[in-house]
Amino acid sequence: MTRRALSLAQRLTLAFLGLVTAVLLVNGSISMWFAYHDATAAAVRVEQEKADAAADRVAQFVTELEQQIGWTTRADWSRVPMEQRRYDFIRLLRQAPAITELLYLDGEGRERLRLSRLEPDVTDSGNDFAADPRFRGAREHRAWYGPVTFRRGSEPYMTVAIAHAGRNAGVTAAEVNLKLIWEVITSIRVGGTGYAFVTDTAGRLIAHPDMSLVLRETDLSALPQVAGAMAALEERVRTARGVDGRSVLSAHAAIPRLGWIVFVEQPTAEALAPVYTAAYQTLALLGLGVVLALLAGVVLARRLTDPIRALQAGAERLGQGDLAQRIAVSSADEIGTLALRFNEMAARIQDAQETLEAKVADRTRELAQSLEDLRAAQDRLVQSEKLASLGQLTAGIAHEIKNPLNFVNNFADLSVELIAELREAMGKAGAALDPALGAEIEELCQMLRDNLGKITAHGRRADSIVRNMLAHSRDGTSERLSVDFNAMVEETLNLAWHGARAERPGFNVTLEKRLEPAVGQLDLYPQEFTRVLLNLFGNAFHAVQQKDGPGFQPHLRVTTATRAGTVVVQVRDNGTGIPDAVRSHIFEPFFTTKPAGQGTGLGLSLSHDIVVQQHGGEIAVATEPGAWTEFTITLPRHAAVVEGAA
Amino acid sequence: MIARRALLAVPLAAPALAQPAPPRIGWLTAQRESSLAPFIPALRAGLVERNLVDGRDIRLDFRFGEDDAARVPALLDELLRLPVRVLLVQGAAVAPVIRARPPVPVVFVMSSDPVAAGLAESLSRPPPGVTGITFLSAELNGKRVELLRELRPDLARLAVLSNPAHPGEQRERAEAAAAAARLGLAARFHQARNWEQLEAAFAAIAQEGAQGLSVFADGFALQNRAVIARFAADQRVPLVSGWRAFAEAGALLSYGPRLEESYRRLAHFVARILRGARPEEMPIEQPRHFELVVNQRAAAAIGLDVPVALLARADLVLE
Repeated sequence: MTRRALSLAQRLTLAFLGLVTAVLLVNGSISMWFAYHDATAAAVRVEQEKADAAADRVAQFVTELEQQIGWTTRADWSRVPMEQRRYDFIRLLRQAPAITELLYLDGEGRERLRLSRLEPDVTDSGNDFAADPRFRGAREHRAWYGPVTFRRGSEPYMTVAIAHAGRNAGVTAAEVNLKLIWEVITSIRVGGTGYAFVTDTAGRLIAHPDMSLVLRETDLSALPQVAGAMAALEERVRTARGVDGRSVLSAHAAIPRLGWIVFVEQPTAEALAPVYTAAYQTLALLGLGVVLALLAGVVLARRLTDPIRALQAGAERLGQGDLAQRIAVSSADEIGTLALRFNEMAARIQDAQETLEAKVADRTRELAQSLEDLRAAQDRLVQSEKLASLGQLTAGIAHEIKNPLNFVNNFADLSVELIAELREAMGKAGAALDPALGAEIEELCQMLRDNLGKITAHGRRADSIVRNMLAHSRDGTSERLSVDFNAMVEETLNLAWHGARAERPGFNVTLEKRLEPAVGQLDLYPQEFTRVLLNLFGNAFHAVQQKDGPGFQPHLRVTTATRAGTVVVQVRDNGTGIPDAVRSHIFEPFFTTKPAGQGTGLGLSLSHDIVVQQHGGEIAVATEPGAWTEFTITLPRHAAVVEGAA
Repeated sequence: MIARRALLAVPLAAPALAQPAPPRIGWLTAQRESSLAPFIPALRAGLVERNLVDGRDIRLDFRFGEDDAARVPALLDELLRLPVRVLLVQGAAVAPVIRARPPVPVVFVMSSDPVAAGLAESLSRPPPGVTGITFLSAELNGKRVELLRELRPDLARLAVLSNPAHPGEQRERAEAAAAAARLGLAARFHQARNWEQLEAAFAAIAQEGAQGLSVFADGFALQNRAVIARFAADQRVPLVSGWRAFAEAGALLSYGPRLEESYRRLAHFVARILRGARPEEMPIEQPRHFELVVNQRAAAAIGLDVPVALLARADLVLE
């Protein structure tokens, strides 16, 4: 398994990000936890206060009723006339719409007056209510609140009985239609959509904004918050399900004297909105912090790692051999210093390498030159040796052949003289001789003379060949002279031209001479060098004669030129050229392409000897078969005297 | 978070291009339109309070029986065919409509006790698909006799006029008779369900020399309240009835629930049913306030002084 290596920048960013995020997270979590608790506590406190306020409002409703009933509980009320009492009751009914019925019991608990909105009025019935809880409760506690009852199973009623002031006082009991609390309950605002409701200690609903629930005598004791309140638990605020099943934050406050519990409930989402807001704010801040940390981390890591990366990249390029590379790090810190040192090192290496390269190049060039020279020398040596040995061989052969040939030639000459003597002798004996025999002898003598002529002619030819062969063995007998090189070339060309014309009268060729005057005087062996030139010119004329096509213009160009320490003469013709197979043999003795009897095959061989061995120069040929041939002779201007090979 | 949700919800709810036709609310009564003149505006006001505007959010379809209870089934059919989402039924039409068990929620308003009339088992547990408001007229008839007696302590002969077609009329008569007996009065009962019978009743009442007249409140009486009041004034007989409209028309006293308040309350049932509540979950409601109206002019016209205690009790004194 390969773990993907993280770059320094990534690691730095991650480290920075991780650090900041961890700090932010811890900080955010703690502050969020506190904010949550604060906000929850505040929401709970607010709910409690709302429950207390709602309980106050509900209690206020009953207190107001009490106060209104209080008009009829004065100490002197037992002594006022019945009409006045009735009037007071009527006023009370007018004032308090919630009171449906009013009952006055005298000190003995007897019914003295009853006024009702629905029932017939009763005056002085004398019915005994002494044992009635209303009478006894009021007498005992001054104010007595009856249990909530539902008239006809629907409308909630409660009795409020209040004892009159004074001794042996009576009691005023009022039947209160609790439906009228509805206005109080609905006027209690609990947040935006919260509501309040009231139950008795048995969990029965007394007041609720939804009147229908009250009229149906709803028992809410099953709701956990109601059950909790009934059990008088410490916890006054809790989250629970409302009557409609929604999640609510429920708070309650008891009204002990009535045995009622007032609940305020607010949808949890609404009640805890500040908590959520705080949480969202913290989260948003956290997110912002992380984003900022990320940005800062990236920027910081960049600033740290960019120079390092530049350093790395520079080192890499340097490693790859790009010594001209310089690291662009401008910072003044350790990395900057490092980059500076790096650059210096690179510069030094570059200098060293450049020097080294120059030296190597020089040495290489020198070596190559030496090798070249060596090769040329070797080639020359091999060629010279080869040609020299051939030349010696040729010269040896010539020596051996020369004496017999001299005999042949001399005796042929002697035989001619002898035939002349024979004819003379015959002339003396002329008459003595049979004329027919004489004619026959004469004819034989003539044939002998002719044969001897042929022997002599061919002997001379053989002699000429032998002489040429002997030229290989010439040992510098001729003299070395300073000659006008251009003049010599021009003269020789004319000689060759006339020779060729003499040989073939119709021969024509365009001669082009490019003779550089600067060539001037040159030390050489004029006789031998003339031979070389004649040979080259002769070959050239022969080559252009061989090539005969329509529109062909034979052309010969002779060029002389002076170069550094040398003189060059070039002979170029546009003749048949030299095939590749032939080219390597042209300087060998007896090699010829001419028909038998026309060339000796020694011309170029001798030329090579003369140029290379006698003059210490070079002879080279360049050719394009079928197009042109160019011989180039390079002579040293001040040639060391090369002893010609024997 | 809530605010955000609300914001999200707005653009979803806003382009209600294909608005469905507003639900139709049927109104069915056996009476004439004129007999309900002050109450229908109260109902409309109640609906508007709950954001139910006729023609925009709902459509109200009225059917009046023109005092012919026999037309109620036909009108009911007519409304059901529209069809209506909620059926509002008033007065004499209530019993036949509930017994017909229509397939739509019924909200009734009636003066008599639906439990006594056998239309519901209890006020808190109405039958399926039915709820409404009762005025508890019967109990108050005893109270009215008592008030008449308080106004005229020498009252001995009492005439009671009722409409036998009115549901619960018998129970109202029983209450009145019991009160009269308790107070030691001689009560004579007269019935009139139409104009001829009303004239005959007038003649009989005039003849017997009644000292007080109690008219049971129903549509017929309400419609003819001015005639009845004039008759009472002519006979110099104090007249008591259930509804404020009688006192305003010339009756000396009226004691009963604030009807406009109850008609307005009907809208509460309609609104909740349209929001998906089932009628039987809403107990039958009783009036919250009862009001006593004293017409001083009528008293003066027949030479009666209204006792201070009665004036003190009155919620409204018409001078």
